[in-house]
Amino acid sequence: MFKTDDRVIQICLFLTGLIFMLYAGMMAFNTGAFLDRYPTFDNDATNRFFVVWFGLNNIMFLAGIYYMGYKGLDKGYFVFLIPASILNIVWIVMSHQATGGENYTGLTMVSIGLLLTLIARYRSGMPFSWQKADTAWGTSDGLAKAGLYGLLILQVLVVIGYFVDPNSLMNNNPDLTVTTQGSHFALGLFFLSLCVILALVYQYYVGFSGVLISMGQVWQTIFMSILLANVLTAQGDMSQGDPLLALGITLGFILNTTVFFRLQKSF
Amino acid sequence: MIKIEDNVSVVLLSAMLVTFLIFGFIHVFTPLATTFWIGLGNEQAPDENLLIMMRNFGWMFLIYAIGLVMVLTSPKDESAVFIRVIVVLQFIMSLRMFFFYAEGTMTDATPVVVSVIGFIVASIVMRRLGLNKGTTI
Repeated sequence: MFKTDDRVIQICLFLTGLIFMLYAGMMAFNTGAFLDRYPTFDNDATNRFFVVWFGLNNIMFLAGIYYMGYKGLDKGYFVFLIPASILNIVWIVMSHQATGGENYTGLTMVSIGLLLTLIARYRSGMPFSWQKADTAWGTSDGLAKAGLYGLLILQVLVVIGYFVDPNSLMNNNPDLTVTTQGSHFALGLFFLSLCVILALVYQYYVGFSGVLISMGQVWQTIFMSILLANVLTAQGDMSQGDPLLALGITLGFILNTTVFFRLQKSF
Repeated sequence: MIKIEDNVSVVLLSAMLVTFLIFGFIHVFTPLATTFWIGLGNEQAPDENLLIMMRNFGWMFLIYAIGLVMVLTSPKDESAVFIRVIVVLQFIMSLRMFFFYAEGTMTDATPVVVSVIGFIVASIVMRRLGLNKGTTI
């Protein structure tokens, strides 16, 4: 697996994947039980919304591990995941400071995951420098390039949107209310957006990365499906959702799918 | 990445994948499952036991969606049995949904339409890839 004979890398990435699987399962599909583990967490619609979202993010991280398991190690994955894990630890520490520290399991697991990822990255022997590609995004396909630029612009808009209104996800959705915990979750998503921008800038410089595009495709497909599931069950009543979020997800899905299908033959 | 060479089949399999995900999430997430259950013509919201059954059903959809990802990323001859199973599954599902609708126990026609379209799509993919039983792959 991972197109390497190094057992340490295999074990490290297997265990990292196991941690992602654990949190994806708990947060996305057993949300109530997850929230009950934190004494100060309310089991309300806002917290459930964000906890499910964070759980689905873990499926994206896991998809990257599976991809590399079959296709081999890819530097792009580590460029995205290591900053994401560090920011995740910062985010958890900030929440501990706010609550006085109530459950250290998450902090421990994410720290172990980061350590395992760093070990795998170090042992992979891949250079830490970024080798510039001949062309932007490493492809001459105009449509794929346009899609990648579009994804970068979309993420930059998400980040700008956070500075304009950090609670926009809660303000725009009639089912959610602005709470301290909700605002902290929104900060976590802002951190993730920064890492996505970093991953896109990396691809702009060194060329597109199969694992990052595939991870994006997994995330976009899951969120597009959930969006369509909401539309289907709404039965014509479209007043309950967040139109801006729906637009962002739809645009992201179209752009990422275009890029994926245009470039998939190369990875 | 994608090993199926027929573009029409790739599009149809991708559409089927998204549909399976949609129905999977509808059954797995409680608010969606509740709205879906009431939308089918039931007057009362599902109780916890029914929700557990719906989640199990939803996970079957999600597992089949993962299977479809495997189909897309594998050579077609490795997916022959899976595609045939999907065709049989969609055929039986279409019949069941049709009978429920005809009996009047289900007032929403969406599941009938979706399952019949699913059966047709799966059959087209099977024929286009030459995976129907008796064909030499």
